[in-house]
Amino acid sequence: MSNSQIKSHLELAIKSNSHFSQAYYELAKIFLQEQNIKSAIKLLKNAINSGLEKSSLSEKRGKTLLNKQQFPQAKRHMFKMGLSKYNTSIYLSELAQIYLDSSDFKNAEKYALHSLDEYGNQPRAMYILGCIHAANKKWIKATEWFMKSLDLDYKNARTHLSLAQVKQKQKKTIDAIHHYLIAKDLDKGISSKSLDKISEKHPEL
Amino acid sequence: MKNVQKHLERAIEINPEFADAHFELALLLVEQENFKKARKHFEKTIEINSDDAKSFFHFALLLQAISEFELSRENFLKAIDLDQNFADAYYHLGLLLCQLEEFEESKNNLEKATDVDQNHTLAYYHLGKLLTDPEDFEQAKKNYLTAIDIDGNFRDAHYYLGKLLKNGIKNDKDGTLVEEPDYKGAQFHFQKSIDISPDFDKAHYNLALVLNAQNQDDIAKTHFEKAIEINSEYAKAHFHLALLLKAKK
Repeated sequence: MSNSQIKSHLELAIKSNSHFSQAYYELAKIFLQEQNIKSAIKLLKNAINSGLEKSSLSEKRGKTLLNKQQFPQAKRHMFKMGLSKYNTSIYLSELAQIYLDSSDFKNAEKYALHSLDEYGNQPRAMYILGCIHAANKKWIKATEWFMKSLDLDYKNARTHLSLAQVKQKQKKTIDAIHHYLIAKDLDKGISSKSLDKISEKHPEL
Repeated sequence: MKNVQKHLERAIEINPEFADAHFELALLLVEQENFKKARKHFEKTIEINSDDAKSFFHFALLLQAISEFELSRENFLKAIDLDQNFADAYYHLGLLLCQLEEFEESKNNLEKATDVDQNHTLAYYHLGKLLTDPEDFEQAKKNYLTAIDIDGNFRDAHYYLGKLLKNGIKNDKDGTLVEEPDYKGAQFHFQKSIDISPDFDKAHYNLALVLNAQNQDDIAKTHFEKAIEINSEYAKAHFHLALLLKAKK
């Protein structure tokens, strides 16, 4: 199955509903896979705008119904708003990740923070913020974000690895090995020469 | 029809206080969507005979059609006041209240319609649609099933029951919110609505979703494609077909 058929259906979905945030997001993921970053960014921004619009509409509708004391219906719209905010936070963190990958830390931070504004428990946005601080050698802040991210998504090998690397920089060897070994347990493909080296010195761990 | 109208107008000319003639003429004018003139005749009917529930009821329907909702509500209530077994008055008042987003009152009136007329299919159906809270899951299901029991070919009742079963969001015995989709049940009712109406795009789409959830991808694909064939601008069908194709890659 080629991507063209999948892309064609997603494009038709967007043509029929220009506010279809999930369709923009899925299409963006395909462009990302194909290394077409410019198009992916454009689509993610459309997904975000549509998502924000949807959340705002659901919130407005929910509040109107609340004022009318129509609680079950208000609850339904508030639930929809929550779901929409959660999805939008995913699109925002995806965009933040693109900027992080291209070392555009300013935009990466902007979108990661926006992601957390939409949904405060978004582990990916926390991870990205950790990476930004790590890149700026702000080890304490980086650790805080990585730890927060792990609180919500403990089985994320990538976050454990990044935290291990930060701990290594802080000369907290035991912690570094601890997180590195968890990362390796979670993802057999993970390897770091320097962390392997210090791990060998502590076979008891 | 013009002849009927002429005779009714003549009857009123002869006897301006002829309530039945005003009423019949008003109904005829409503059919012609001449609401302004119809309104005058309903008002005259009610002025002459203020004890006729039917006149208030039909006047309320007209007022609802021209978006004079508060006045419409008053007239439905007068109709009910005059005839407390007027199932259709409860039913239409229920629909009006739903339009006015007074959902609890709407439910009460629809329930009243089903109390008075236990074969009021539409009242059961709309009641099912109104019961969207997870704690009302069983009640909603019961209402759809009753509507289907009365009219086995009620396409939309099958369709909405299918959707209810597909989502399966309900409260369990201790009040906890649970998601227990009944895919087989949903599949049955979506298929039934397609049997009744083969070009029902939304039923094909929802059936495809249910089949997809049960890993029956090939049949699911056929139904997504059918939904798109019926409605080429069906955004959600295109989207989910794309996801299915991506998953099959």
